[in-house]
Amino acid sequence: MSKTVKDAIETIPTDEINSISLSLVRSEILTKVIEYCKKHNSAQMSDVDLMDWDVEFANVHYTTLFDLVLSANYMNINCLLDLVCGKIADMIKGKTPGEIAKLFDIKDVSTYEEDN
Amino acid sequence: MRREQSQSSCMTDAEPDIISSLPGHIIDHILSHLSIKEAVRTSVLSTKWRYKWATLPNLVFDSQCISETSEDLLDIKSKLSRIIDHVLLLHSGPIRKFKLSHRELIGVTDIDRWTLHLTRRPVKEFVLEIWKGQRYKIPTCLFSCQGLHHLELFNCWLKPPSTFHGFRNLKSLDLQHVTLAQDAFENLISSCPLLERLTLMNFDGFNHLNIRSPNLQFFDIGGKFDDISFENTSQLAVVSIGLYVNFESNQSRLHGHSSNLVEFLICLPRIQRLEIQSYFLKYLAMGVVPVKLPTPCIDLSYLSIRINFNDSKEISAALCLLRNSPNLRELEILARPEEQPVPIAHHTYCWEEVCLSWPVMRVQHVRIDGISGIKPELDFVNFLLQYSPVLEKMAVKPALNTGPELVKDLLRFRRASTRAEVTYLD
Repeated sequence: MSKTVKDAIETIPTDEINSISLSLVRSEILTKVIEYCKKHNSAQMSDVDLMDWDVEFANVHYTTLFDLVLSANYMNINCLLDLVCGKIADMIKGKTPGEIAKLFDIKDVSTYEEDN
Repeated sequence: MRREQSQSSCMTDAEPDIISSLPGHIIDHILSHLSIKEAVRTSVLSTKWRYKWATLPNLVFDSQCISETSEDLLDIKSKLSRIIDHVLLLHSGPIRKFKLSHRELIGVTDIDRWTLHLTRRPVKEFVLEIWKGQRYKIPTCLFSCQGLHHLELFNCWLKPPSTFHGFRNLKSLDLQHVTLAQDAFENLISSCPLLERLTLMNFDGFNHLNIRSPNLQFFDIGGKFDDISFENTSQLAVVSIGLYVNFESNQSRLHGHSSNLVEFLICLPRIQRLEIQSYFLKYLAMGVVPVKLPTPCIDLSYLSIRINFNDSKEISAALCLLRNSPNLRELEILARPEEQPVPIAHHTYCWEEVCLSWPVMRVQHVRIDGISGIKPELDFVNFLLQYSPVLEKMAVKPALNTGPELVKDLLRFRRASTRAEVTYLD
C-alpha cells in the first residue's frame, strides 16, 4: 500500500533488509497509518462498512489529520492521502474565511478582499 | 494597497500554523475537494494564502460558482464571465482540467477567448456543456490542442479546419447533442490513434457510422443512424448501442445476405458487455440470421437486449446471441412496447427446433422488464428457465396494467436449476 516502502523493498537486496528507515514519521502516527493499511488490506469488510470505518478513522483533531496527511504523503499511500485531504476540505467547506482562520489558528489574516 | 497587520500578531515571529506550512501539492489536493469559489476564497485567509489556490490543476466552473439569487440573467452572465477571467488570469502552473457547465452560459466570444487561453496552457481535459440555445461552434484553436486526453462537449457544433489531423493524445471522447459533418466525423475518429473510450449521444450531420479505432475499448452510442460498421476494433470490450429510429425494415436489401448481426459481431471478437437498445436489435436481425456464428462470443459475460416479442426475427437474433455466448452470466431482457398495435405474428415461433440442439447455458442472473404475459414472452421465459441449469436469480418486472395471470403463468414453469429464485417486482 505504501509506495515508499514498496520502492525501498525493491531497491535494497532482500537479505540486507532488517529495517526500513521512516525517519519523518512519529511512532503514534505510524501506528495509525498501519491500522489504516491493515484494515484496507484485510478485505473482510464490505465497501459500505469500510467507508463508515474511514469516516470514524478520520474523525480526529486537525493536528492529527495534518500529521496523517504528511505521513501519507511521505509514505506515498494515495488512498489515505485522499481520505485525509477530503476530511480537511470538509472542515473548510461552508465556513467564512474568519471561521477557517479561527479553526486552524491562522494568524495574520489579510484584509485584502478578493473580488469574488 | 496597504495590508494591515492584526493587532495580536506580535506573534509574527512565532511558529506558523501547521496548515499554512503544508507542502503545495497537498494544499492543492485539499483545495481540489472544494468548489472553485471556496478554493479561491482561501486567498483571504492570510498573506501566505493569497495565491495558494492559484496552482489548482482542475478548474471547474459550474452552478456552484455563483449563488443563485434572483438576479437577472445579464447580471449572472457578467458575474460568471468576470470570475472565469479573474481565475484564468491569476492562475499559475499547468491546468490539467477545465470544465465549464453553467445554465446561464455566456455569449460566444468569451468562451472562444478562454478556449484559446487554455490551448496555450496546455489543458488535458476539456469539458464544455452548453445547456441551452443553439449549438455552440467550437473555435478552431481547440483543434490544435494536442495535449488533450479527454474531450467532452454538449450541444456543440464541430467544424474542424482542413489542417486538422486528429488529436494525437486523445484517449476519451464524449460528444452529446452535437452537429458534425460525415467526413469530419470519420476523420476525427480514425485520426485519434490512442482513443480508448467513445461516447456519442444524439448527433446530427452524419448517418453512417464507420468506426475505425484500433485501441477502442468502450463504445456507447445512442442516436439516429442508417448503418454502423466497425473496422480494426479488436480491443472493444464494452459496447452499448441504441438506435432511436424505427426504420421500415427493407427486407429486400439484405435478402439472402448474412445478417447485420454476423457482420457486427465479427468485428468484436473480445466483447465482454453488450447492450442492444431501442431498435438496434431490429437492425441486427435484418438479413438471414444464422443458428451458429462463425466464432462464438467467448468473452461475453453480460448482455442486455431491448426486444419486440412480436417480431420473430428479433427473437431469432436474440437466440442466436444466447446460443453463441457460452460464458454469458448476466442477461437483461427489456420488452419494447410498440406504438402501433402489431398484427399477431403469422406463425408462432418454432421452439421445438430451437430446443433440439440447445447448448448448456451458464446464465446465473436474469432480469426481465416490461412484459405483459403474451404468448411469445411466456415462451421465451419458459425457455430460459428450462435451459439455465445454474440460474440463481430471475427478476421479472411487469409492464403497467398487467393482470395477475402473468404471475400464475410464471409459477407454472419448470426450472432446470433447483437454486433458481424467481422474484416478481410490482
